[in-house]
Amino acid sequence: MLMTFGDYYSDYLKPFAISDEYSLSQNDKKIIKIEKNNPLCGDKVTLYFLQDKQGKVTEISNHVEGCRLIQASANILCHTIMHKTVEEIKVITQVLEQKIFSDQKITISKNMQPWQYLWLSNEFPARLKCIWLPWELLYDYLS
Amino acid sequence: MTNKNTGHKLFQQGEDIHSSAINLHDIRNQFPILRQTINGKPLVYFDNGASTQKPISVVDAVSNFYTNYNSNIHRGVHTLSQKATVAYEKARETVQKFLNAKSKNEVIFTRGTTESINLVAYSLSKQQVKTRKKIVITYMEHHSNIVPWQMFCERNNYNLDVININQDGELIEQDIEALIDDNTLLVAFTHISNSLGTVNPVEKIMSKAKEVGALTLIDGAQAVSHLPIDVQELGCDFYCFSAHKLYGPTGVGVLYGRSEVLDLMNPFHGGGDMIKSVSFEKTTYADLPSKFEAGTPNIAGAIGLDKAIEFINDVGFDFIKKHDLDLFQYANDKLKLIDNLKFIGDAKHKTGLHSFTITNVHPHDLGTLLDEQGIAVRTGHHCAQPVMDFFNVTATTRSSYAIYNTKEEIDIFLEALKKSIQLLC
Repeated sequence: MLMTFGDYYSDYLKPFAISDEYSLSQNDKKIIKIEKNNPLCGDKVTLYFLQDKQGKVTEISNHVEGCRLIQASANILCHTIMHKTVEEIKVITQVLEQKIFSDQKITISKNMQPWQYLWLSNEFPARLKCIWLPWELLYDYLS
Repeated sequence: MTNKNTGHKLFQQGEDIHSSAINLHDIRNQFPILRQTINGKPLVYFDNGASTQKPISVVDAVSNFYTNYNSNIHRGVHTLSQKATVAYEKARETVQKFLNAKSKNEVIFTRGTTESINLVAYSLSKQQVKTRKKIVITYMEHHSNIVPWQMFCERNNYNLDVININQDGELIEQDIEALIDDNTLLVAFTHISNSLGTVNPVEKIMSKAKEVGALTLIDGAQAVSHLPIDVQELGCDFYCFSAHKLYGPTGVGVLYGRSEVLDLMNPFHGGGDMIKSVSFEKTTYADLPSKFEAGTPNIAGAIGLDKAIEFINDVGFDFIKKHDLDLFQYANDKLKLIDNLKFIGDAKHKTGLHSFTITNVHPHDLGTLLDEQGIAVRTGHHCAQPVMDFFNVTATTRSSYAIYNTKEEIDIFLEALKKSIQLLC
């Protein structure tokens, strides 16, 4: 049976969409700020983060003016890349891109990490831009 | 009344069109696309502000052209070309009558409203442009009636003045008086706002523009399916619309232009069909309307538009206006009862659509959930980002209605809306 968007949102994304764990709570001048909007819909995501000398992300938060999917994706991104190096982040982002923009049916498993929940969005092509926006923003910056 | 093409009875003469559900049923029957299910639910199509569905007569006319007499128009001496030319030019006459233009030569076929506006913005001649120094538009314009004028102003060192709106989404009358002055070359404004549903005070704007001798361009993209248009009565210099918002095909539209003004303008595109003669030394341009129709046009599209107007005429604006009002009011009363729903645009004169936001519910999420329940609405900025900025939102949900929509569909929409809100909050 096909998963509905409502089920996908409720079962996988909602906890991240409504979480404020990674919402902007600091105003550190050292923090890197990057932002991107989707010109088709006007939604906008801003990421604030710090890296140590090795390039590992040591602090991260986000501010989203947009839908629940962008918010969930941005929070999952923050959750996922904390303490990761630039190379590790790039690998994760490349895998995510490959998964969400493919027609391949994703098999749901119990051991999925939150960022892997996003793979399932490939069943909702009209919303892929929402999921991809925060990741595209970070990847472009790191590249 | 019987549809000339399908033989379907629309309604009896003298019959109260509102008391007769069968008439609406007959209208719906002419739209095969409405019979389908989406995600297992009957399609409720409320995205008519973006594009309306097509009656079978339009679909058949386009198909018939390609099946039986596809050919390029004008200049051809063979039978198919003559037949295509006759059909294409008949469409022009149909549009002329539909708009009550003085002459069929005042009807220019374009790709749509956007191209119609761009045509004017690019083709006003030096002679016309040198007389004044500013263009006036309104805050509630679609991007297609903003950007071409920004580009025009940049090219010609003009100013762009903007008539502001109030919190109900109505034009501020003092701005109309103050901004349209004798330095204004042209006032470009929408007849009905695509993002707010506001019906603008055309007479007031026209009267002020005439007083100062400014040209006027009306974006009729949203209005043309809801109101009868008489360009002579309006007194405008230009009126633009797209066929696909009038139950016709995509990729074809109309620029009505007063011939005295069009004659002074330069051609838009150069190429075949728009010339009298060509040599390397000098090219002379064709008369109206060919001067503005370079290259092979959308012949099938124009033929489809002809049938779409025939369909509209068969139904009649008496029915359309009453039906619009009925549906709008019904939806309005029920939407108002939904907790935390805020209308974006609550003008006194409004028709055809509701644009709204709901606290903590993003329009895109709502749009996706409604789609799962078979309901098509539009979500986003509706190509009206200044309006979104004015109301401090990034997007709205817009339900927009057409001739074939029913109160039952509004009930289905409202139930789905409540269910979606529950899931998202």
